[in-house]
Amino acid sequence: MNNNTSLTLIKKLINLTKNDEITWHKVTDTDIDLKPLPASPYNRLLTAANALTNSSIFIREHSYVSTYNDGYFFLLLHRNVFEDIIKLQVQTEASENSRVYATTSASDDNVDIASQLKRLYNLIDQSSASVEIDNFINEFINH
Amino acid sequence: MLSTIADVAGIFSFFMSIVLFILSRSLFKNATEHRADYNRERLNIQSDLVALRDNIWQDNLDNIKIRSQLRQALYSYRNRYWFIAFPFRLYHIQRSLHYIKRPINNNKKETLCNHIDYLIGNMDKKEIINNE
Repeated sequence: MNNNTSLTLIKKLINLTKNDEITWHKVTDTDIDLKPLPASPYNRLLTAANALTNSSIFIREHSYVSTYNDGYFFLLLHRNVFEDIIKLQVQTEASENSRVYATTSASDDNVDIASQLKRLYNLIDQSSASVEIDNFINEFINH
Repeated sequence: MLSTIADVAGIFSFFMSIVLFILSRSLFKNATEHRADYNRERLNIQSDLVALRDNIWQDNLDNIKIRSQLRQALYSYRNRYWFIAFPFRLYHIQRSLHYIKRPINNNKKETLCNHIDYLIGNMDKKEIINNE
């Protein structure tokens, strides 16, 4: 996945989110399963290496998923001692695996991707909090 | 009498120069470590500031959570790197903090973005570590 495609994808998600054309839900509030990443020998080695060196924790309560046609976009929050990392992972109903399209680990050639992914996450996180409060108010009024 | 004073002043200057030499080596080492840490972290901090600037400027998100995140990023940047930062950088950080103390006035948004833009642009440059 090249950087231009990832950036275009994230910007499209930002526009759709701002226009309320897609909605995001916390991963803990849905029963959508995250499919594993492709099991290439390289990925297996990388996963094993990461398990030894990287003590990041997947935070389900602050991860989000959105449905679009027969596909799913996941914004997954991983936390380690030094930083929070957000990953954009995509899968479809029919696919065996999911794929990581972008991550907020910034390097010289993907600062734009990292910043726009953080921007998207902040947008979703803010509106999620607002929706919960709105739901609470509605429930309180109608009780 | 005068020569005694001159002798004492000379001996005192000698000891002061030794103390300053030792202190400057430790300050130099400190600055080198700060620069190395800054070079490792600058892209992360830069992407944080870009994201929050766009949230305020383009997405019209102006709530306590966003302002708190921006304050946190700016305070962290200032406190970690004040030692190696030029005064201009500290000036823009302080002005940005001033505008996000409370909900941002619409006519102050552009001024705030100007200050944050300076910090973002400044982070395109790596700090030079001596002997690199």
